[in-house]
Parts: sequence; structure tokens; C-alpha cells
Amino acid sequence: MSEKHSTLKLIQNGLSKHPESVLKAINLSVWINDSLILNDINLYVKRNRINCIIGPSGAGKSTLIRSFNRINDETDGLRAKGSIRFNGSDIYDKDVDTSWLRSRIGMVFQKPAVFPVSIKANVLMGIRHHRKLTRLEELQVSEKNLKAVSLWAEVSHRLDDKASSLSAGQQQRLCIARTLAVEPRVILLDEPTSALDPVSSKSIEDLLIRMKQNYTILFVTHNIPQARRIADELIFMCDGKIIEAGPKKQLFNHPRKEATKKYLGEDICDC
Amino acid sequence: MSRILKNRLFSGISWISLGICCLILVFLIAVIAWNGIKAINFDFLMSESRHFGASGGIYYQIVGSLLMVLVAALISLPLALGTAVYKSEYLKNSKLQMLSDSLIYGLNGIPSIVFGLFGLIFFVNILNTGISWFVGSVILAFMILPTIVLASYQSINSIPDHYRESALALGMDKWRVITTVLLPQGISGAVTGLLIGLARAVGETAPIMFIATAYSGARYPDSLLEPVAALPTHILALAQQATDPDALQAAWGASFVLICLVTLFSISALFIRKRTQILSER
Repeated sequence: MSEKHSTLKLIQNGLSKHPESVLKAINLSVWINDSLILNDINLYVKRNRINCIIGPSGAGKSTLIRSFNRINDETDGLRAKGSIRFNGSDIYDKDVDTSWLRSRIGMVFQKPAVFPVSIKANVLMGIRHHRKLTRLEELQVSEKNLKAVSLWAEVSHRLDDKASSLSAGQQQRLCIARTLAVEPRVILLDEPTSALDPVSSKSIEDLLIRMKQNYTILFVTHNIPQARRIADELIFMCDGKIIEAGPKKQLFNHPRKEATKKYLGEDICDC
Repeated sequence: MSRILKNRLFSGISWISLGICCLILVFLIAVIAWNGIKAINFDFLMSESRHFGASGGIYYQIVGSLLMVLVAALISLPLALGTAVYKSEYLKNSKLQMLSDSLIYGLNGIPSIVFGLFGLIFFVNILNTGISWFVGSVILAFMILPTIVLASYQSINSIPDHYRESALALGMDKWRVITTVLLPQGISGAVTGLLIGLARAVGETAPIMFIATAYSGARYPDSLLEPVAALPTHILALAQQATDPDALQAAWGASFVLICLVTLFSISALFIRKRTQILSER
């Protein structure tokens, strides 16, 4: 009985810790200039997990992830149908403030884009826009977030140096630090390691695994070994559609669809 | 003819073209410097002109010219930056984009004398400003506007999109992205364009000769609506009395000073362009 009871408790705990998905796409379709990029997407992003979207190039992975913080709004000729729910409310509602939305749902891009100012100013770039900081708070925020991305030891003695003096891997970690400084709940990462060397990629992967305690992570990659290393949930996309989604083990070991098996096994997609 | 010979002939011709191009400039500057430098001394630079310029110096001409182009810069720079930002960040319609391009190039193509006539008719006659250095500045500002707009547009527009997106993704509003990320980059382009524009404006005679300058007797203006003396119109007046060797000597001297000002603006433009490394080149 005790075993049964503890299992039940575990499930309950699990449920209360991950009561449901933070972010949901419901019947989402996206067109760019009349060509259908996303075709009726239904996606649940699980809380405090690394949710990994995987698929060949041109599958619509980027368009999908870019819909979640409405950075797609800037794209010419883009039209969306359906809805995306963040904590229950539709982010495409008219009265949603995109600035607020993006402070809750942060994003890191493929190429690190550090601004031509100091390392510290880069960390503070976003948060300064949302609230005023005293000089002490500025230092605290910089230290906390640079430590969170394991960059503090490398740059603490030169916070006022130009951010462009950092290596590409360090720059990408700086970009993550500056995203964390805004205190988002969800972090979207669009192939954040594809422009980096293997060592830097590894440090970003380790970082993401540590970060999932505090954040919900939605991660795009076309690197299958990387997905195998860090993903909790896997979403396999091809040709604008979600082919299969579920826990990583299930997709790797017992895929329901032939296409999933072929892609994850042989990196070939014939959908 | 063999291929090798053709090759040599072609490179020879292009070398000669380049040589002629450079020689014209060197020759012009050398002649002006050779003749002008004899007229230059402290007195010439620091005293008022007398006898319609045949004696005395060109102090107020230098002051007048600098005043007009600097005020022209103050008028045109914010206008040009605004235009460039709008064109690069807000104007998405490609037809309007093309229309605005042709209008800006059109403005650039208007002969300077037409600017002068426009100033004369619109400001001096219709608005009844009288001969005014400020009207001269406004007209010069219009004239150099396209150069600054195009230079700043290019430097803002060449900033890769992932910088804009990274800033937006941090929750920054569009105006904040423009002021903290794009404008600091755009400024260098704008200032380069501005200096090139000023180098041109400071030497222009036609736009200001009817509307902004007096040929003799002008000193520091007391108000916006007074004429000043200016270098190019002064040279024009001196050249008209070229039979007088003193006037001719003063004309060479004034030309040399003018060339120096133009060079100063152009070299600063080059310097700024070299010094500010723009994001897109990193």
C-alpha cells in the first residue's frame, strides 16, 4: 500500500509542479505572402522542461518559435490564424503589450548580437527599459546574471570593456544573461549553438540543463545528437506540421510515426 | 593583336585615366595654393575687407561662411536623421519607398542656382524676409539634405536585422530600439554625410548670392534677417575686378582659404568614417 501511495503522491507532486503547459499553440497557421509556413500547429510547451523542436531546415521551426514572443510581427507579409496561449490568455489579443510579453518570454537568437557598448551595459540593456536601477542594483543584476551563465569569472574584472571583445561563445552567453536579466518565465532559443564551436556549444547545453529548474525552455535545433543530449520533450516538425511530439525517450525509442523513426535514426526526412 | 597586348593596352588606358583625374585636382590645388599662399598672413585672415576687397582681409567672409554652414548643419541633421529612420524602419511599402528615393535623388539633382532663385522668390519676396543669412542657411540646409539622408539611411539600414530583433526580444519598444541601438550607429553615417554636404555647401555661390550675402560692409549679424559676407560671393566680386592686381591677389588668397575649409570638412568626413566601425562590418 505504501508503495502505491508514494507513487500516487509522486504523480500528484509532478502534476502540481507541472500543472500544465505554460505556453500553448492552438490551431496555429501562419502564412508569409500567401505561402503556408505553419499548418495547423497544436503544441504544448511543458513547464520547467527543455522542450526541443527538431526538424529539417525549412520545416517552419523558426517561424513557430518566433510566433511565441510575436517577434514575427516585424516580418513583412506575415499573417497568422489560430491562437497562442500564455498562462491562459491569448498573446495575439489586441490589448496585449508586446513589450510586456517579451519581458515574460525572452528569446536568444542563432547569431549572438551584442550591442556596441560595454559588457555590463549589454546585461542591463533590456532591464533598464523596464525599470530604473540604482548603481548598486546595476552591479547586483550584472553579477547575478553573469554568474547564472558562468561568465562572471571570465569577465568580472572587465565589465566596462566592449562586449565585442568577447569570443563568440562568450557573446552568446552574454546574450542569454541579458535575456535572464529581464526575468522572463519562458526562454525561446532559436538554434543558439549553431554558430558556435563544440566547446562553447557544450557550455551552453550545460547552462540550459541548469536553467530548466527556474525557466521553461523552448529550444530549436536541427542537431539530433544535441536534442538527444539535452531535450526533455521533443517536437518533431516537418513541412510546416508537427509530425510527432512527446517525451524524448518515447520519440527516440518507440516513435509512433515512421517519419519520426527515419529522421531521428538516419537524419533523413521524406515528408 | 595578341591577348597580352590587349590586356596591357587596357590597363594602360585605365592607368592614364586615373592619372589625368588625379592630375587635374593636383594642378588646381597647386595653382591656387601657389598664388593664394602669398596673400595669406595674419592680417589678411583677421581683418575686415576694404575697397570692395582689394585691400584688407577676409575675416568677416570667413565668419559669415562658417556661420551659414554651421546653422545649415543644425537644421539639416535632425531632419535628415528623421527621414532616414522613417525610411529604414517604418516605410515598408515598396512603392512609397521608391517614390521617396526618387524625390530625394530629385532634390539632389536640382541645380544650385534654382535653390537660390527659390529662396529669392519664396523667402525674400513672398515672405518678405529681405536679404538674410538665416534664409541662406535654410536654403543650404535643403541643398545638402539628400546627401545626409542617403548617408544616414545607408548606415542605419545596413545594421543586420538580428540586432533589431535582439533588442525587441528584450521587450524594448521600437522607439527605444531606434534611439539606443540604431541611431548611435546611424549618427556616424549622418555626420559623414553632413561633412561631405558642408564641404559642398561652404563653396556654393549661386544659392546664397541673391538672398544671404552682402558684397561689402557686412560684419557680425545682429539678427536672423541680416546679410553677412561670405567667401564664395566675395571671390565672385573680386574676380569681377580682376584687372586690379590687388583684387586678384585677394581673390587667390580667399580661394585658398575656401579650399582649405572644404578640405578640412572632407578630411574630417573621411576620418570619422574610418574611425567608427559600423556593426555590419564587424
